[in-house]
Amino acid sequence: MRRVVGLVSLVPAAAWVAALVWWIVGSTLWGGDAVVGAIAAGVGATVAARPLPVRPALLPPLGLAVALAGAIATWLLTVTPLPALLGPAFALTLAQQVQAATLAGGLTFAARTLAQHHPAVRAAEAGLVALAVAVPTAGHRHGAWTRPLWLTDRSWRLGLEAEPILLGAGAIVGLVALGWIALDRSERARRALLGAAAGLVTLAGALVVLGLLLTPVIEALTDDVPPSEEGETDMPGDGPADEEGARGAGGGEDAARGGGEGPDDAPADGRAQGGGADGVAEGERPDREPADAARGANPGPTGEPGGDDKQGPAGEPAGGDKQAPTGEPDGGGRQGPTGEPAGGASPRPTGEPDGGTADDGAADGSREDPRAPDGGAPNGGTTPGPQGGDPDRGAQGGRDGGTTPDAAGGPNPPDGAPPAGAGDGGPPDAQPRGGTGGTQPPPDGTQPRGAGGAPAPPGGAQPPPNGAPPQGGSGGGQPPPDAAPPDAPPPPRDPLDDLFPEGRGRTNPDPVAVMVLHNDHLPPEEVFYLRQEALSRLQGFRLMPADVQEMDLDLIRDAADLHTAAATPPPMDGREEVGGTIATLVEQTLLFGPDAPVWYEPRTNPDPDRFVRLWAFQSWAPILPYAERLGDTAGGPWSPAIRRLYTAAPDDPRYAELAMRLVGELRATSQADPLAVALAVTQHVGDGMVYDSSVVFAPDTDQAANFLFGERRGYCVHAAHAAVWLLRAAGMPARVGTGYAVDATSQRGSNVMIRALDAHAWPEVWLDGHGWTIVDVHASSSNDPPPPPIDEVELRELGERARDSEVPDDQPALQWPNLELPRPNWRVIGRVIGALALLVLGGALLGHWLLKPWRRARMWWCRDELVPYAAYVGALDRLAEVGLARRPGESRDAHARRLRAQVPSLQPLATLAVRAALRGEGAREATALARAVRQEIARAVPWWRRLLGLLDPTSVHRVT
Amino acid sequence: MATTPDLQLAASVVARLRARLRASVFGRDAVLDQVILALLADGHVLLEDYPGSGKTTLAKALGDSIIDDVPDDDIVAMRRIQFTPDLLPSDITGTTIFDPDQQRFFFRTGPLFAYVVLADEINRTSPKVQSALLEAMGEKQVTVDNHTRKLDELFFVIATQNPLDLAGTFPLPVAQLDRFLFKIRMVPIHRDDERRLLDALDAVRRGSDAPRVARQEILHARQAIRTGVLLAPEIKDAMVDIAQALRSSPLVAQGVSTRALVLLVPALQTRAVLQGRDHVTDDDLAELCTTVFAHRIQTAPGAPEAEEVVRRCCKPVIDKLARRLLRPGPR
Repeated sequence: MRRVVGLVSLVPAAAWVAALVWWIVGSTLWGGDAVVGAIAAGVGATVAARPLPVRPALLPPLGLAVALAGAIATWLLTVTPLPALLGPAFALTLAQQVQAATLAGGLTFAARTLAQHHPAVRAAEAGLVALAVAVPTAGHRHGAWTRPLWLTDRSWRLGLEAEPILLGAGAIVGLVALGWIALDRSERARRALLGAAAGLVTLAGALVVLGLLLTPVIEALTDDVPPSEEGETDMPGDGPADEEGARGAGGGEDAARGGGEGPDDAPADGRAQGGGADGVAEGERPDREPADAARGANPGPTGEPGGDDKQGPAGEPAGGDKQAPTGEPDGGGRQGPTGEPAGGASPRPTGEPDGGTADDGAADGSREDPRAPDGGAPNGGTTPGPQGGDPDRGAQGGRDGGTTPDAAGGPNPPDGAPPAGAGDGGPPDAQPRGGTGGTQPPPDGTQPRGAGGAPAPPGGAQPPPNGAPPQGGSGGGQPPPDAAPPDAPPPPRDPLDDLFPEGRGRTNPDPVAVMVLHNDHLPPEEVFYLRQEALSRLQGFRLMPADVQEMDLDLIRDAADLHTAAATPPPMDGREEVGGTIATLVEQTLLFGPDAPVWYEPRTNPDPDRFVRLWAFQSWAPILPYAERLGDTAGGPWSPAIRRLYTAAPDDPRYAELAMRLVGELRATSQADPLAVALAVTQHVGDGMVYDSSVVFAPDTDQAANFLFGERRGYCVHAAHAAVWLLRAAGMPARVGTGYAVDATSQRGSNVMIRALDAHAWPEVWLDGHGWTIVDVHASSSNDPPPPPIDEVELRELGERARDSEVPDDQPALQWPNLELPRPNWRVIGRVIGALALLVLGGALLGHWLLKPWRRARMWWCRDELVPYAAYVGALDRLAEVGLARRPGESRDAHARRLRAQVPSLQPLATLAVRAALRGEGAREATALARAVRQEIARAVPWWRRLLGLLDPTSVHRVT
Repeated sequence: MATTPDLQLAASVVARLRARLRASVFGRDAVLDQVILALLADGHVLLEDYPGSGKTTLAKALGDSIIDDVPDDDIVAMRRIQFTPDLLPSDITGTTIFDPDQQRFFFRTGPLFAYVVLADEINRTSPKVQSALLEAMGEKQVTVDNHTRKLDELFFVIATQNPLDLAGTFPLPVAQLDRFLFKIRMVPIHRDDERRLLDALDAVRRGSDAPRVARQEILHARQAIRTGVLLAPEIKDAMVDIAQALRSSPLVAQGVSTRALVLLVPALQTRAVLQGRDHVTDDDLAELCTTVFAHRIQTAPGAPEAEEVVRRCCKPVIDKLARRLLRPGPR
């Protein structure tokens, strides 16, 4: 009976261990905030279990009641009006706390209660404590630390590191709990407990380390990811294709063609068509070609923005679009959603046929050779290219501006105008636009939001006429060539247009996005450089995104609705992991993240009225100041051909001349140091530079040269290009990075406000040890007004809302392609830990079973003086198996007397053993007695009982 | 089991005493063993029993079993004192009497000058007499008229008291109970034994003819046990642990004295011999703790009976001791 009770009471203990494992996994589901509640409840239960004597048998019903109460509380917090009262986010957090607290508190209470009846449970409890310390401090969620954000924010505000605080708190909690357990009962329990705790802590640590080490191995074994990934990426490709197809329905055969040709080709077609391309581009930007195509064809510029607009229904562009459609029945109807498309629509008709042919050509030529097209692009493009670029830029600038109502309106119209008017206008167009924008804004300005719309119509209006001509010029006159080449090797989309806010946009303080950091990070320069794109390829007098597979592999281009990682992340040296979430308020073609983003992953949109798109990012952010990055080399991992592309500069001897001079001014030891040279160059460029976002240079000229060797008035694009030309002239790989440069003053707690005026372009230089390193130019003075302070209330609100985003349900398992470090994947780690736990359990079981024969046979080979002892222990082992173990407090002789009837030989054996123990005298006859005991047990106990006992691994613990 | 000749002698003493006592007293083998144990351990016993339960028979049988091998002294094998409230110390120690023939005082020995003294109903007499008896028990000497006289080396007291009829008694305080090695609570004998006794009345009256034991043999046996039976350090540790546990237990108002431990040592050794061993084991300790300690402690208010308290305090120590014995080889 006693045994039955003992076995039954082991069941909750086993269930408890299982639940513990689940809890560890669960904590990763609930996040760091919930773990606080769990620990609090655990400690509370520890305290409560002492004065509350609960019989183990009552634990299951009690646990059910607690679980029920927890479920009801959770339900109350999510269903009833409480959330409205508390705020949904708080209610959700509270519900998580309740869940975690219910589970942890219940488990702890059960453990404490069981421990008062079964001291062995205490060892398991010590394990729980060790894990309770480890889990909240090591809680990890998709690569981002999950821990109480309020604590993080607060400690940031106090200028403290949150991590040590958490670790300290965890350690204190663990120590207190351990102390409780240890002091619970004195005597041997304490020593045994401490030993067990030490062992378990070591074991837990080993498990975690092993889990981390084995993660990649297991992943490799159970790798079903790549296929799914491919499938996923394909899907988007198809999607756009279809989309285009749909559009094409309106547009014409191209679409059909596109659809027929397959995902890749389809996009290409789409681009050729114009607006369609944009859709794709934003959709996922699987290739750059589409963008290029778009750019190449006039529709491109418009199209791109259009695409953006379309996706950004909230954006002003949308408004513009809508108006556009109205204004332009043709394209409007089809491309309805896209505003600019209107503009694109007109080009389309003209361009389309070309595009069609181009597409075909592209299809023929195979899309892999963007190169060829490049070559082509320049050709036709020398004029058109730039033009294309400009219009694009203008358009995009317009769009960007568009994102911000007022300025948007300004730029937009101008953009529209310039392209139209400029038609072939070179890059300078951009500025002109700014100027024109300035002029035009007034009208637009009348309707901030409508501005976008208003301008759009004009834009739309213009395009048709202009579009026809310019495109006719670029896309029409050269259309065949232009469109064709772009399609096949679609000219690169101009990210500057996409991002770079010219004219008024530069001073527009409206927020475009909010970034929520998941861990504390302050860049060494106190500026968050959010890289969106990099320009590496020389085209005319400016840089464009690379269109060669091997270039700029650190960029993440095609982040759509999947987890997407950089093909080649930068070296981890001197960097730290930074995770976070970015929520954009306006449409963005490309995702961006703090230098250097290594992966993006979509997040659900908790507030579609406000946010356009959310994604999580993980970055490896440099933390070393420049001084500690000196002494590197700039060899680069590329082939000589690629390296040549990275060092290509306009053919202007003044660059080399100036570069030589600047290098010559350096100390001899620094002349070969790429970073030192880069710093000297950027300093030179910045010295005497007057920052002026209204500067306009003549189109079709080397604006950087105009800037650098002229009045030194310009803005970041000019400075960045100038610096890159100088660096390249000095033979160092360099490129222009674009995105947002957000000053640390825009940070409040873990929230960072990103505003339109933060858009920026900066030079980057390659360092072998550190990857692409941002070396920004700082102008000596500025004609622009200083940016207004951020709106803290709005920032906090946005940050709170952005935090509510979650991993989409259909998000496939995380993928870590090509990353150098094993990334913690907790599902896999959980599996590994589970497997290891099974292994440990199995090992322990085997050990227990092996212990039995060992004990029984030992008397045959042990030293003489140990024979009685060994024989006696062997007999005790057999007795314990069949439930005849010594009872606590019973003397050896009393035990033997109690069993005299069944096992008479035990008494002399026990006497012999005790005598041997006390007098140190052994006797060989013990073996005979042990054999007699065995036979007597066989007579006294039925065989099935003996078999049961043989299988029972726990009997070895009852040999006392 | 290898034992020394001395221990074999002790074992034979035990065997003879056992045989003789068992022939006279039926159904009380455990009590008889305890009495023999106390005799060989140089202690005294206090029997708690109702009248007519065989106490006198036991004492007489014990006295009869001892051969007075020093016949020319005044010391006899067995004396019985019935304690009454008007008893005086000199009634038990003896007194100085004037001999008119020889014109001088001489000492007339009292009933204490015997090997085995049965002190019946010890709680019925005044503390004065009790104290006199206790001096004799503790020091094995009596002092009369400022003259201290030695009692016999074998002096052994079997005191009795009636646990129920307490009217007009002088209960022994704990300090005096401390002098007794055992306080034995006798229970009515088993039905079969009682029936067997009726059958064997004649034989019992006639007395056993089993071999008796010489006084000198008992003294030898005491010496042999004291020196020959191993008391391992583990056992001593456990003894001290138990005493500490009893003193620190919240159930105990006053713990055991060091004297109790001192008295326990020969008792343990003797029990080992009674069990046919030459070393003390955990079993001896477990058995003797209750009987030796129970009457020496004062339990706290609300605590269970003294035996139960002692048992509880001993249990973990005994368990630990038993585990220590599982370790192999000499330590």
